[in-house]
Amino acid sequence: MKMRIYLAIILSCLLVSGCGTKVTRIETNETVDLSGAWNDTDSRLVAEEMIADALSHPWTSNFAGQAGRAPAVIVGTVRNFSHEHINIKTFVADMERALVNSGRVVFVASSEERGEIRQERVDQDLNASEATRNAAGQETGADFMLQGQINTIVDAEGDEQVRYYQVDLTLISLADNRKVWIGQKKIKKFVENAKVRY
Amino acid sequence: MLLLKKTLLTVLLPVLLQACAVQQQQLNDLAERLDYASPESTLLALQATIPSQRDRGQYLLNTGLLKSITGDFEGAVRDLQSAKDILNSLQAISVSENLAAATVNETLRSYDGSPSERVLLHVLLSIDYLMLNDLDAARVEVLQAQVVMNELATADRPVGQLASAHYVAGLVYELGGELDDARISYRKALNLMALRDMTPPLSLQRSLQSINWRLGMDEGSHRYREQFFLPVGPPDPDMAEIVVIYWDGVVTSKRGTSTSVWAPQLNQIVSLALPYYPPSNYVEKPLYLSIAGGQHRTETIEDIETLAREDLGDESAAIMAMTLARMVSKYQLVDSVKDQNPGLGMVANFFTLLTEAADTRSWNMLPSTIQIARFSLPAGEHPLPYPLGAESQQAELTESKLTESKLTVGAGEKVVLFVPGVSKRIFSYTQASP
Repeated sequence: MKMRIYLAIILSCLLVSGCGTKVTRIETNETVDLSGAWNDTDSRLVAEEMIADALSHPWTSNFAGQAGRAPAVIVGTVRNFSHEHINIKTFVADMERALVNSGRVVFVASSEERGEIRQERVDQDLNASEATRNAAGQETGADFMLQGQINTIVDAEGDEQVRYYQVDLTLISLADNRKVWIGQKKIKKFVENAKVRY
Repeated sequence: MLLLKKTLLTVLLPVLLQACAVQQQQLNDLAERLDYASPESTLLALQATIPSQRDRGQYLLNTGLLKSITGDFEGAVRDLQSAKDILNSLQAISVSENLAAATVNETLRSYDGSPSERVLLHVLLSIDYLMLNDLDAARVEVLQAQVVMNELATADRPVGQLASAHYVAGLVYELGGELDDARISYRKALNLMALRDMTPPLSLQRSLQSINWRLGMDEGSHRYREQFFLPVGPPDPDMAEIVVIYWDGVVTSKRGTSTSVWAPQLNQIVSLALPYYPPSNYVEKPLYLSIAGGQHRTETIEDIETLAREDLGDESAAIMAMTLARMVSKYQLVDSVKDQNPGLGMVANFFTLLTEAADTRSWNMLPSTIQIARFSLPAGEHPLPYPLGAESQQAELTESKLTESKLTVGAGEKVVLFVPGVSKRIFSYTQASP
């Protein structure tokens, strides 16, 4: 009897193997926290908060009143000073989309993006017909630059962690360096890691 | 039918476990050959093996390291990030693996890395990201290393506290213009080396003094100037600063020792196997770089040979307790089988002997030491001959193996050179212009 128990223990220990992969489709706005790290929900919350905040302030109407057109914004550097490898482009893209769709802001290509555009324009100069060619020197200059950073504070003790994220975005006027809008979103999480696993 | 199953189990289990031991021995052989075989061929040989799921963390650490030293930094980041995820997921205590360790042997645990290895993983990732010109990602790894070191910290021993991790952190902060944080990290590196009775490299002292000067902390500069007898002054705006991170040697692999004795009182052969580190044959070989008429020499900031032994020493009480528990459980198994069938009891005793094996897994392709140097160079183009030191290696070096034969530096620039000794290559990162 004892031997059977021992053999059962040994066998069960040896035959531990993963089950097959199971995939379940879920809504994109459903919150699923697996590791406690920055995830799509955090990115979405930041984008939503920042968009609502950016559109609720008068910098767009002030500019439109003075210049007679919607302000052109360029995305500058958004630096990741956090403890995690965060894809900043997701919430910046969300913000771009919402602000452009609001009709109150125009975005121009960032320094990373415009290289390819300019290359294409040079190619058009050589290869496109006169009627469809886009000339150089007609780009829209940006009026404001969006800059920002993500910072975190992690306090860990044993299996428990408190993770605090702070996202700061700033819109700076390229004409005179004035900061016309400052957005901030804070997220705090308490993460308890498992002490025991199977 | 039951007898057939038992017999199959009795035969197959030791065979499977011996296969694992053979694979570990092959890995140790590959690591030992790394000092004179090419890392590319070692990587191919390693990739030809199929690690078990529980050894996957160790496998990825080694493939990631080999990719780093051969310049495939993107591949290295992929492997090391996967290894990190695996190691992090294994920090919780496993019920099944503890049971297996208490009844069969320790190699049935998933490989979760030693404290120093967990920190060195972040150090290597920081270097990889720097070489990929991604300072922000390198900074992420620096912060993660600090979280791991805080988790591992104990009041009485510097378990998992690495001077090299603090030095790389200081360097990353300095490159990002965060001088306050850089100063704190350099001081932590200095304090840790003092705690371990190691002589701090001149480069570390220079880094700290330079930061103090730039922060206008004359009092601190004065104190360090007196302590280290170094001249101090403002950085020359016409010069570039070069920081060298040199990896020397290959750390010793763990070995296993096993003892089997006939215990007359128990009427059985009892066996125990324990891991150990053999005495190190490593002889420190600094890197000498002769550039622009100056001779520059690296000095050790981290002795991984010592760290590996410290980590095993810290674990030894737990390993011994588990070994004794296993001895008792195996004795009881054999005893119960013997009560039913003395012949089968002998087979069971043989089975327990064959399954007893020490856990000799480690990140065994790490360097023996991490060394650093810091010096200034006039702006311009400088030939960058690979190592003038390490005389034994000199003959093997060929121009074609260099990834960079010339170093171009601008006034006021900071350049980090990563020189893994075993791959005989030099990789560089140049600080983006402010």
